[in-house]
Amino acid sequence: MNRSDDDPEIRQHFNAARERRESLAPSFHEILERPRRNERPASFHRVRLLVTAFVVFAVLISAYLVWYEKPVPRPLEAELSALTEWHSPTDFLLKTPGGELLEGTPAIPSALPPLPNLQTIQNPSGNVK
Amino acid sequence: MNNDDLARELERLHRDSFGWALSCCGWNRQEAEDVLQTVYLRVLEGKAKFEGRSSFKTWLFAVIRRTAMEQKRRSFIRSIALLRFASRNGVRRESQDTKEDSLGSLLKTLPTRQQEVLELVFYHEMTIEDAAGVMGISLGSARTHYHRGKQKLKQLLEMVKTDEP
Repeated sequence: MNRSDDDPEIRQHFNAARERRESLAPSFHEILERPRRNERPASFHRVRLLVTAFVVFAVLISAYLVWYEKPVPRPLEAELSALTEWHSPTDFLLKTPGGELLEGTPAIPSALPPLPNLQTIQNPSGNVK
Repeated sequence: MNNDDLARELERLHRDSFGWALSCCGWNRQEAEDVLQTVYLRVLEGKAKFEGRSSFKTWLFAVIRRTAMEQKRRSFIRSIALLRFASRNGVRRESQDTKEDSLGSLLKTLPTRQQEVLELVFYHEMTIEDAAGVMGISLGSARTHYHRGKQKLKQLLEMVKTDEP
């Protein structure tokens, strides 16, 4: 069912618009034969090919650098000596006052130091202390 | 349908198709011609196939509408790039718009869906059901847009009449 029959005023306006638009219309063959505006030029395809080739090349170079350029391993003796000689950089924080005494046995001097003079003290019973 | 039949049908509907393409492209004649050319080539090269689920005209108008929307998206992206270039280089872009008639300027004030359904029903003399098929919406939605659009257009035409001396 065509609803445009129930509005003659609107239909009249659209009929006038149709006449105007049809006067602007090019022919069917003109449309088919006009040069295509949206076609990409040949240079676009060349640039795209170059960019793709560059990206592939960059990926291959990165893969080579990651997988084939491995670091040379150190010999085992060198690894072990490095481990034994290693000292923690924060060792100084563990030093406590008097800690040097624990590092070895203290030496007893050969001569005793002079002792102070002792005074004799007499108790009331006559015995000397 | 073979290629000759397709070409014959396209030629028969060409004036209507041009009017619809012009409407879908916001009255830009260059864009409308590009869209129409793209659609015709797609149909003749078999990239767009008519499967007989609706009338040929309904199907063709739906293809024109979709192609115009694709073109609008591409033009939008291109115009952003061009604006940046133009602002850097002081280049002014020429407008390709065809001067629309008074009805066209009134229709432009309506929401897109209402514009489209009124165009299809009044200009292209389709049924609301066919218009819904072209627009890819349900019949109920098309009816709603049709009635609301018609009401608004009548009010606008009344306003134009009262404004005239």
